[in-house]
Amino acid sequence: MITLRVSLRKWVSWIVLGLFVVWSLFPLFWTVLTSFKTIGQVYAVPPLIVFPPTLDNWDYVIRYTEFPRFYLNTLIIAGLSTLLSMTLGLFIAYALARFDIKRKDDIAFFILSQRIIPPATLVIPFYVLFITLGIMDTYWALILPYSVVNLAFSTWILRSLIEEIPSELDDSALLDGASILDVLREIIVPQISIGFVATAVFIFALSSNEYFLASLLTGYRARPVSVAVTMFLPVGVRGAMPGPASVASILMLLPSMMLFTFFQRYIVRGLTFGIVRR
Amino acid sequence: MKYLFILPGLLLVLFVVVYPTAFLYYTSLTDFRMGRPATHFIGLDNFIKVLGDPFFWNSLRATVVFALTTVPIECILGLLIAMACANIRSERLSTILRPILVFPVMLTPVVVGMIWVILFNPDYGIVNIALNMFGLTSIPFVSDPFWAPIVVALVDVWQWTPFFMLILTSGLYAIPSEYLETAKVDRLTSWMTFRYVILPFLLPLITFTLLVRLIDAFKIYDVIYIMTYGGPGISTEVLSFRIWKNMFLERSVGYAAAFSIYLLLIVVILANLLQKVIKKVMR
Repeated sequence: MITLRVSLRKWVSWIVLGLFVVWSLFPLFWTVLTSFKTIGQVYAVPPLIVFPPTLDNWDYVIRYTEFPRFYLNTLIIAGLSTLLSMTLGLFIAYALARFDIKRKDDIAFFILSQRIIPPATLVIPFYVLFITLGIMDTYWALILPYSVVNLAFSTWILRSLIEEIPSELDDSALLDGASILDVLREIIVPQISIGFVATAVFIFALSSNEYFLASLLTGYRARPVSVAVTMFLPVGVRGAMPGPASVASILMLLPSMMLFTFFQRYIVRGLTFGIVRR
Repeated sequence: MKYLFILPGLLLVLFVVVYPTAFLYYTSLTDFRMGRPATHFIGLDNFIKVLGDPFFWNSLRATVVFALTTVPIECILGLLIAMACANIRSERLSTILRPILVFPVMLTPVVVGMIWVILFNPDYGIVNIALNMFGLTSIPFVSDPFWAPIVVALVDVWQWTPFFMLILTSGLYAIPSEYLETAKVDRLTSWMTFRYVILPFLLPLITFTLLVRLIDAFKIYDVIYIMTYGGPGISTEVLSFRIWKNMFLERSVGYAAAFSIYLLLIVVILANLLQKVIKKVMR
């Protein structure tokens, strides 16, 4: 009786998991298919799974639109803001972990709270501020906001990572005459390298996926790909372009998916804010 | 000397956040409109006007309904899947399975919106084609005031259930095995094991994740903009969307600022709850 119950539960688990996998993967699968279809094949009934593929959509997006330039914009914006927030975050995290600073936890919470702010509340001041500063539609219009929001995240994670390293290591190095920068470079960073990289990857993905601020603070020049992808949506007189839209979607997803596959074990830690310890 | 470390970061935060936020508070007390030459200080008029604005209450309703439907569903589904995953003993399979199951979380909301909008398209979307094959008429999902909110909620559930699954799986693995052994020895049924052993352990984690997701759900904008543009009519016009409309379509910056502060207030209250929960979980 007990064995029957156990194997029933296992069967149910398998079915549930199987359904969930199909449910999660199907949209992606269908998008990939659509990207290789001509417009006629897209409208076909019954829906085609096996069909002669065409590269027209891919050709169109990569060669005839400005999509590649927008892609580069995203890489620059996300890259620089990740760099900025990881570097500054490292310094702040080290200070919070090692130094005895007054009102340390208040500062920590203040920085963390930046992530909680809805972008809708920030966009108005940013819009006016950046117009005044003359940096609208430049990379900095996005790098600055992203860095601040990401700083919250990086400080939070890096701080808990650094706290796990015994401070005796730092102290002995400092006694031997090393400067704090040396300590950071030679001791801390190598020790936390995995978490450091995982956090950087996560922040990079977060920055390249952002839409709200990106759509409102950039125009044609500095527009990142998260906004550019909407050029394939049917709007007004522009008709449906399911083929190119699918291509754009896949191109956008590729970096996230690749990065995620490599670092998934460590990204889990990032998502749980280190709350759950194995 | 030690303050030098924090200084650059704090400066950045000060400049990029504190100053604009102060500006936001100030603007909400004026009647600043884009393109109008003069602005006047009008005190709390904007705030009173927001409370009397039917669009505000509609967007509040839309946002709350959205958040309170998607987040619990994601939690329960995520828990179910996590338990199903934990029942599968094979280690190798779960390392392969985990990235597959979780990847929707890493996708850009904009792209997710686009993919699903294509799937739900009345003419060539696979969902409607499947409906037709079963003899049902096509449903214009995105242009129907009944279906549009459901579709948007569905997309959010699709993307974020894996978030819950991921976190709760880690939680499940953290339960000390002695408790589960004891439950088996005591011949507890699965339901009782769940209710008295598993659930108490997971409760802090569930609460934490629920609050995090709730805060995010209140801020939703991207998917709405891509899939329904607040429509049809105003059925899916959430708070962030309404703020955007006020600011950029109707150009009333001062009014939109007051609107934003209401949203900020809600989120801050939720975040305070989150902070208390974090303190409790961290022991």
